[in-house]
Amino acid sequence: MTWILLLASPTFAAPDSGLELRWGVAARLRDDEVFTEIPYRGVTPVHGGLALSIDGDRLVHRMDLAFDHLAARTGPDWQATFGVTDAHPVTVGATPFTRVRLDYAVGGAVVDRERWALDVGGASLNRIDSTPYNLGWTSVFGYCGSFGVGPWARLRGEVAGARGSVATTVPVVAWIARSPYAANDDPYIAANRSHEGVASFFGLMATGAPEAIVPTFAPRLDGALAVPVSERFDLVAHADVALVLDATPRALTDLSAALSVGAAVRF
Amino acid sequence: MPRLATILLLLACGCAPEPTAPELFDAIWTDVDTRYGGFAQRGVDWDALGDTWSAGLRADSDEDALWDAVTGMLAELDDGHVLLEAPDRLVFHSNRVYREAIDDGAFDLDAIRDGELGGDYETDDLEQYTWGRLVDDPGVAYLHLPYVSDNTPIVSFWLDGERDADALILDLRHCFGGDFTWPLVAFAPFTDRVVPVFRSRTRNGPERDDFSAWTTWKLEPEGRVDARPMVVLTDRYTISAAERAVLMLAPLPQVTLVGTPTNGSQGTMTGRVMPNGWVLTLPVQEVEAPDGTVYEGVGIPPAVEVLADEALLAEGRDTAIEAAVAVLRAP
Repeated sequence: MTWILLLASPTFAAPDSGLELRWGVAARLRDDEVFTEIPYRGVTPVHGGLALSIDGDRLVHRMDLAFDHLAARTGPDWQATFGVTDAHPVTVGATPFTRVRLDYAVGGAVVDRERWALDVGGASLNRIDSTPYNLGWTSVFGYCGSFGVGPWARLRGEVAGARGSVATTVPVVAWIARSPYAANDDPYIAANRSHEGVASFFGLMATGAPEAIVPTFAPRLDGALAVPVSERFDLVAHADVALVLDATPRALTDLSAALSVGAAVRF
Repeated sequence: MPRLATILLLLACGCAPEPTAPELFDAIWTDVDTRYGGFAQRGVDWDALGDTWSAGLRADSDEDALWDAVTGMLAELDDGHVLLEAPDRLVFHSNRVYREAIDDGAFDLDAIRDGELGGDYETDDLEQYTWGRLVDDPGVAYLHLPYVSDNTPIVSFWLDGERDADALILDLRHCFGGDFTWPLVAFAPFTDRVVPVFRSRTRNGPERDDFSAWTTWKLEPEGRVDARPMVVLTDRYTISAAERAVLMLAPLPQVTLVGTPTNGSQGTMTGRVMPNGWVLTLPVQEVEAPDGTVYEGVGIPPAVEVLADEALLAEGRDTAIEAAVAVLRAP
């Protein structure tokens, strides 16, 4: 139980209510044994975030929407020739990995000192990964949706007018919808049968099942810094590291990191 | 945990120990062993094939030797969904028909367009279909689909546009598959009742008999019914989802299959990256007709077997289409 309390929540950057917009870089190392024996790696400047913080008298709320899109590879691109009578080159190269996450956390201070405080509460952690693997002459679509709840904890403080925080979280129970053992099975095919994006999305997510912290372990660590530039505006920086380990239907290891800067308006 | 350690090592130094040829062979053998859906239906002794084809490999064997051993083993499956892809090589087809282009010349869409359709046909920018009337029998409407995916809604337009035709030819020769759920919807006008058309189950674990429960797929009516006599043309290049499309139409009373047996590769295919970066695709399912008949490995047989004469095709005559017309016009 102790270690659960040490892992907790999305990003609580500022103690004030405000709206924050960020942009930056993200990196990913993902090894999904459903699709590959080799980890895919990539770095992207396409990483953004939008966060809303509301601080009440007793509780703080934060909703954080973030996304990134990167070209992941196992190594250098290479070509092969496909076709016997109409031969043409095919390239095994970048696979576009897209992640969207939406987290919501709520909690309050359990320790409140003059220059630092410890907040504890609960969070809803939601993440969708789209990973259509480029296999040269063909491709295979992969997906992973995780919708979970878990505890959070945040340590925040203030130094020389700048506010900083470190937060951590892990879903304890989550609905996990992930590409099946063989990537394409009948439920997957049935989910795509409508060929309409929204219906297919919900169809795929419905293929999931509830999982506990084992076999899916997905801790996050967030750091945030806010430097006031006026009474209402802050410059903000945000960094996070996230690990996803899943054991079913085949092993998945996903390590990601992101760094972004932006601005926040306080209200 | 060893895998996680490997990944963290990769992250730290961007390197990993190079596996030897026997290790890579074993990894590829294991990948097929733990994912392939066709062992039972094709009667494959995978253990024996592994022993046979790994025997010549040594720790210092080069990539060519590995390629020869792996492709030799995969060739024994003779499976249209099993392909191996490696840098600077011709993509290897396990299926002999595709690998050796057997009778590939017995289908020529240009010859059909210019000859049987008299140059009067409709297609689109991506050539996702060919639609016309036969010159020698204008009462027969013709449609060829090179694959079955988001192009299959054209079937509805074809039926509407050819209301005054009294017979239909749906040509699925050299139809390389796609997504069978599209024709499952597009072919709805061909039935007035719910028809179970095939069932499938998928590997869901590493043991060779690890399969999901069977899913029975059905063709369901949409309201209107088109019961005109129709020939579905097939050949050895009618593969994958195209074969499932044939299975949808075969039970219908107005449909006759003409041509040569289909490829015999109906399971859904997926791909995976091997430890040396090669890409291996293979089917992960068993598929069979609702009555349990298995066409995997043998193909769906036509009622009338005919292969177009290549010499006549060069003159614009497709003898398979002529055979189809004979079926449609038979008293």
